[in-house]
Amino acid sequence: MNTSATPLVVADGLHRAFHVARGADPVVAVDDVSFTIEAGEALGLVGESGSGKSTIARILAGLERADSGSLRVAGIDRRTVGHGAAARLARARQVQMVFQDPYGSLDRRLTVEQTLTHAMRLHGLAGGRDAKGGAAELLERVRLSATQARLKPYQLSGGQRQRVAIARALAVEPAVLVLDEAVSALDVSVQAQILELLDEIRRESRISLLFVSHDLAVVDEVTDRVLVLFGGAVVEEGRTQDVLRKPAHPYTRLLIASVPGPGWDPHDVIARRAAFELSRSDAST
Amino acid sequence: MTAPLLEISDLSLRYGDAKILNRVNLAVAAGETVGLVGESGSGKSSTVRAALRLLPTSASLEGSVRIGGRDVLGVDERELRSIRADEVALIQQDPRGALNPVRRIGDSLTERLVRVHGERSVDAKRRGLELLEAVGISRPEHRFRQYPHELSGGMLQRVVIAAALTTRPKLLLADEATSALDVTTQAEVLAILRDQQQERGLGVLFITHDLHLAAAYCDRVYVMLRGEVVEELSGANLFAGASDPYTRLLLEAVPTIREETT
Amino acid sequence: MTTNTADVLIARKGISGRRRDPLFWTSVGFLGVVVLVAIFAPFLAPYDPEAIDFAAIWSQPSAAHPLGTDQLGRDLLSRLILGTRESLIGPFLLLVGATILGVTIGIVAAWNGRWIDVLLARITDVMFAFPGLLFVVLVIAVFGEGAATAVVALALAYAPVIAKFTRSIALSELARPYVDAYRVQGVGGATIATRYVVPNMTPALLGYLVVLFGEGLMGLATLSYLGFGAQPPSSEWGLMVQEGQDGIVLGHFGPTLVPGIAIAAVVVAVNIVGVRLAERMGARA
Repeated sequence: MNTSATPLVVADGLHRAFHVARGADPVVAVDDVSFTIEAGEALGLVGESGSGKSTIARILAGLERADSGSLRVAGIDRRTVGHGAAARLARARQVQMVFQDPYGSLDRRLTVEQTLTHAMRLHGLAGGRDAKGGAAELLERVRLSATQARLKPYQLSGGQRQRVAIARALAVEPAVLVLDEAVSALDVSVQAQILELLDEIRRESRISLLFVSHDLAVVDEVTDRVLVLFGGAVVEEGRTQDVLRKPAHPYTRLLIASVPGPGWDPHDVIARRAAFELSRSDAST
Repeated sequence: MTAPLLEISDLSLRYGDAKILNRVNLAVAAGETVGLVGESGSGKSSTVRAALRLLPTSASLEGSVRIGGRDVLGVDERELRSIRADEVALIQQDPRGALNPVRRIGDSLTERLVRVHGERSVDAKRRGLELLEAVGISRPEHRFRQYPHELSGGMLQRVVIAAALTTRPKLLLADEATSALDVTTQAEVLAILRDQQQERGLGVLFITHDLHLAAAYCDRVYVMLRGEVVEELSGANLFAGASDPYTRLLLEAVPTIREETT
Repeated sequence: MTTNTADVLIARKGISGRRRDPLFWTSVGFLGVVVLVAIFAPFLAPYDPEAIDFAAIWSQPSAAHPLGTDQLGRDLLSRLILGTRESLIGPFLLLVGATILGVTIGIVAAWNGRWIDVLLARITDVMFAFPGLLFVVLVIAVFGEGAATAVVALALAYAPVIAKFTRSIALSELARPYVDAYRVQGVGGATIATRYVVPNMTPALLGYLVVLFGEGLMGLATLSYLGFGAQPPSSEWGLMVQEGQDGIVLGHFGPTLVPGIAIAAVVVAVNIVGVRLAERMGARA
């Protein structure tokens, strides 16, 4: 089944709508989205807020269900694994996730070491005594010192917390790591360190990444391929360097032109946005 | 050039033994956009809050802050209120914290005009509606009657920006005001500020962690590190002209979509 | 954006500042003494609190009777000391009952939503619209007066209030991404709620419950004063106030004042401790 020909992650026709209010039309967050991620590949999702990129990430991580469509990881359908603790843990070992808010995503009662040993014990990956050794190895992998193992989240900086969150995700040795705006809340210098760490982790293992970010430059640095989302649907996809340098779709061009840089003018962005909205309403009529 | 709208001279701030700001000097002239960049904890927000005397009583301040020629640190409470009411507006990053959740958008938008400036509520409403339209909010009459929770974060930030402009301040202190917005929305809001600068000489102190934005949007940029201004550069020259080692480090860390070298 | 240095410094200063907080520690010390008095009451009381001495009715404070005597010549100091037990155990039991009931309902409502949430909202609406004391009197009217009924009645009155408070902090706790992080790790819903969310809520709950203890003490004292709670010859403080009242017209304030001051002092101390505790825990969260 899982031959080298089939990609690690295969999402086909994912659809998700949210009912916001009784009587109102449901809001379509994800509209017929299909993509694949090869083992060891990094796929980026870009788009504005409300484009559906976070919902797709959460569907892959199992935090949100898709109304329709199929999602397979290593040939196993994520939706038919079944209920119960064993199935939950099996799903968890396939996909792990790192969240945007590095403080809120850690249990503030637990020390760094407890956070890591908890994850390993849960999955039976370290029996009792080895857990501490395993935690130490993980900490070394994310470049945290042994003294930091005894600290609690509030004693760590934002970048250190995000390293712990990454270590916790790696603790269960997942095939796919989902990063939802994982470096967006960090200062640029700290962000650069975390991106370097991700690069190292990818070189060490064949882990696949789904990297969600509104920051095109960061996506350019991290990912191999990218999907551009607008209104829940994919408007453009391809190799990241091609899409961001030779964008084909008008929305991608708008996104790139909106990013401040040399020659950037806010009035120009507004004009482009208006032109894009106009072209869309023309297309739909 | 006339006297600057905002002039901060040798401003130092400490809490007990902890030094937060150390002899900060900066100025904003009419019609000028001045950037203030640096990492978290570098003292950007503290500078702005100190300039408006919005600090806890345990803070000890030295140096001087002049807004419209008046010495903010020296005046009594009444004059401080008058400076805050007439000259300055502050926009902070979190719009939900800035708006009263149980009041309608319209009331939040016009209350300063009516209560502080004594304008008639009809005039205040007209001005509020104009500004909502100007910040790109559709159906302003409808929004006027809505509550904050009914609007998205991006919408609310535009409301906050409109609210800041209702009283026609001469100086705007924008603390990460557009950081939570999508890039296209950010451009819309910044276009409005630029119009106001050209039309009536609004001066803006623009605090941001986005160095590309600071370079593209600001006339001048101050770089802060550990409570000190380490460098002052023109926006256009920010990336090319930085000489301070910290500024260089900061600029190199910024991810950029580079042209392929291979 | 992460917290800036100034805020962190203020917070740190705040914590160490509160460690030196004399009001807090005086209150803690005072309550500690009160609890010790309750435990060792029989050894501390100079007289039998129920021993009637018609020769010494309404006597002024003296070496024999440091706080004077009441209308039956009973030693006020001994009654006060023994009364500590019933006056503290009542609100403690009431709080334990109300907390178990209220916290369970509140968490289920927050986690599960739907009909339990709606039901809780209705019940609390009714409870808030309806004077608490009236409800309690109603329960007593049905089940008969006495200390035990008063405790049960007040526990039932407090449970929805605690449930509502629990629900609100549980909702904000559940919105934190660490809950999602546990789900991604494959931890089941019930385990997340009981093992991780509840312990993370306790700091916020604890301060609130301590304050409620003071309210419970007042409530029970009020019921005894009205004749619905503890019955003679008990030396419960509320009952003591009521029994001492006859003396006021004759100029004997001691029998009312002594238990009255005791109630006020304990309630104030409990409030100070509760509020500071909530603040202190909040600074860490």
